[in-house]
Amino acid sequence: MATILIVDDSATSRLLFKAHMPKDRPFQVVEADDLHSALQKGTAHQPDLVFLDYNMPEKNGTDIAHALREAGLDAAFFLLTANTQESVLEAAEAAGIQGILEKPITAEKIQDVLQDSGV
Amino acid sequence: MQEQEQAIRSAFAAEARERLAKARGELDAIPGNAALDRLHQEFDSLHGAARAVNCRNLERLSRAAAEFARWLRREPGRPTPAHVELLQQGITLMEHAAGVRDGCEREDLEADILHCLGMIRDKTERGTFGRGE
Repeated sequence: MATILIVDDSATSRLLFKAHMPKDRPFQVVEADDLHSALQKGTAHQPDLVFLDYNMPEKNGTDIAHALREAGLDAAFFLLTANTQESVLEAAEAAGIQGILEKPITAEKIQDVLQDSGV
Repeated sequence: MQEQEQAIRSAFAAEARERLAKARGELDAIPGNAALDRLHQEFDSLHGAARAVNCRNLERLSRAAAEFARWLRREPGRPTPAHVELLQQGITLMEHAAGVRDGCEREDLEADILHCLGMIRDKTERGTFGRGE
């Protein structure tokens, strides 16, 4: 069973993300709302995929991606954002983000990522 | 499915209440740059959540409030007490618009929402607020 880590400071967005997950197979979805909990949950669960909201207080999604990689996570990272400015895209590339999902997130967008990732 | 939608709606209302309480707390005094950054963050996150659950009333207000906070952050000598009062009024309206039962669909808020959006637009586009007041 694939493990997915969703990092978003919005409880609503995390709940919606889980609601949009495919129902035809089981996933373990682990939630975090900031850098500290992302590091804790990420190292404990070693997810296959990590979905990171970009706009969060303290540390943004690309900062957290860097930190998770430094902590040894070997996962595919995806950024969730409504902001596709060049600076964000460059930061995502520098952080080794594999793909960007433009908000609002839909079941189809998640399904596409899972399919492309072979999960 | 209805149960799931209800859970999402309840989570959204709780999140909105929490973010608006934090925003209100930042306005206990005239906010400095750091507080304006936090206000922008709260309103922007609220906008994202409102958009995700299609809460149109709150979506419009929180977006305008986020842009207003960012504008205030850039403008020297802002905010004035009048700006703070407008933000407080906006937060009160957002609290109504985030009501757990029917805030997102409340049509009776429309006039107040348009008035608030108009005030914010007037201040940011014309830059009239705070000058000579």
